[in-house]
Amino acid sequence: MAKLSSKKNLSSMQVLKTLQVLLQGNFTMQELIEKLNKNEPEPVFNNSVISKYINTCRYCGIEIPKIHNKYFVTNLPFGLDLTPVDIDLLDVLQNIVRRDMSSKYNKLFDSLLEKINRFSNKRITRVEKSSYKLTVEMFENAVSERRKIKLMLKNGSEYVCVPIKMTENQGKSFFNVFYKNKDRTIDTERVSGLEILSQKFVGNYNEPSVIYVLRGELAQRYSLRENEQLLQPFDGHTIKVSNRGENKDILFSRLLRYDTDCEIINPKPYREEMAQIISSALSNYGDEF
Amino acid sequence: MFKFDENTDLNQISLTGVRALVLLGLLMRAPRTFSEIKQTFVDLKIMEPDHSDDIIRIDLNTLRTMGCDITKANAKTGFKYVLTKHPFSLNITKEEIALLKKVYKKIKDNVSIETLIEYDNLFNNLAEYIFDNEIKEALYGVSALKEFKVRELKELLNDCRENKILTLIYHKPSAKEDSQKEIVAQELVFNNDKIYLRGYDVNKKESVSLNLRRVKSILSRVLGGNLIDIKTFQVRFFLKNFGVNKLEKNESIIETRDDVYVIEGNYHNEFIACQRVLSFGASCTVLEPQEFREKVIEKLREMRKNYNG
Repeated sequence: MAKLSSKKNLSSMQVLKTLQVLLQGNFTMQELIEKLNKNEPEPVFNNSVISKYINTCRYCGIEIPKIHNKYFVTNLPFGLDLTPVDIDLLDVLQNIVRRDMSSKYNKLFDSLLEKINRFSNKRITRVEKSSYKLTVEMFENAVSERRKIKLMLKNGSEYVCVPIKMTENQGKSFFNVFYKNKDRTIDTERVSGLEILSQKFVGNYNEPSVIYVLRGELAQRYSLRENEQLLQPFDGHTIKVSNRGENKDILFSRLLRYDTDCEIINPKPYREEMAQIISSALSNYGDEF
Repeated sequence: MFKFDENTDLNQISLTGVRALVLLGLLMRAPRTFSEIKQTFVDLKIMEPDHSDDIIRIDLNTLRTMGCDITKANAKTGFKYVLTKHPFSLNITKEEIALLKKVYKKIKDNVSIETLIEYDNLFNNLAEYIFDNEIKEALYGVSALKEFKVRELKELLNDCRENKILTLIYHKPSAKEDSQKEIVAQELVFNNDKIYLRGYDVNKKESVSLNLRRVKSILSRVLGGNLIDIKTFQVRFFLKNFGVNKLEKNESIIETRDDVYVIEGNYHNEFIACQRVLSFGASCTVLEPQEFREKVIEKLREMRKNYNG
């Protein structure tokens, strides 16, 4: 008979091993089977036992939603809860490393963040009717914290985008987001998961797109910014640009620098405001209408 | 720590696995005696009271096999099982802590006390999830506020916001005895790993900057500091080739000429004003007051002597 000190519970060990692998990343059932059996003398993990072990973890309050056929550990009772302020502070440190330090340090800092991320409770939710309230709440949190989101679509694609607002039309709900310089309206039924990312966005995407024409040399050498889209390519004289999300004062100040090579076309109130600024500047020199 | 999902079909889970997770969670929180573990198991209905104690011993062995370091429950540990290391903890390396320290060092002198408190919270929060004591201590040590009581700092920040009059006992190294001061609290400043309370000495009628380490105690805090006429030291100077966004909140541009600015600064006292204008080096020329301008010139002459000797 085996000594008590050498006795252990195999089923418990397998539950813990399953949790350990789930904490390493997001895997499909097949990937979990392969990873878990890799270190076993003979295959003991199959679909049914892993499901049982995942359910065991879930029973204990460990949140493991299945999104895109992959299992995500989103909340551990003993996990780290990072506040939005904590995420911002880590972001500041990471930016300093990116800006001022060597690739060796960048790699080391990335590894540190990855560990923290793996151990911290994530803000991911499965998008479905039963969790609609939570989805709306998370989307609105992302808007107010000015953080980008990742939408995981049922067809397997993923959109890292700027959340704008949630809308409803004819009984259906939609995510209104800004993705690849375009407004997108995505039916919530096409989405299986939503994750709030630590990455922040700048600008106000609730403001309308500002469209302007650039002329001459400026039009030829103009480099589009992250939040700009080329509406009309260079035709020998001009280009037409759409800008979304840039702070209005900063945008106006920039466009004023382009003097006669720039003209705001739309929206009308922006065009009128720019005309007013120019008139006021002229009046400083005693030049009145 | 664990909240069981009552809707789960118990045939679809491993009850021994539940015990292992609960035991891990219990020991992560705090060291436990054998009877505490058993009582929790019984309360959570994952063990019957008349079940053999060997169940718990086997559960402990299981965790050990999975890489958890759990001490024996003996007199040395107060008859408690202590979890000293486990595979689910945040395993930060010494190199990563050293890098964190290096990066943090780059910003700590340029952020407010409020931000330093936020970093202190973050480091403490992370440290709570680290089991290796050496690494845990190293992480606590990263914070610039490690030797300060954050609760007291928060209270002082509030005093500054409300311009409270503080009656405090201050120890000046050159004085034989500690002195009692009445100070209108204005600002907490972090400089060179020290925190200074800037304020206005009501009795001496002058601005002061007190090293917080030398404040022995605060006897009282009362509202009303904003009713006191506080005199500051005002200086005007030319500043060239300098990012205006780096001006302090007590400094303002009163005139701009190409890339040269005329700045008006209001400082707590002449000493701080002098430090500030000297810090601009050749970019700054003091305009007024004339007496201060001469003092700065004299100071610069003295500094030059250091290099000419």
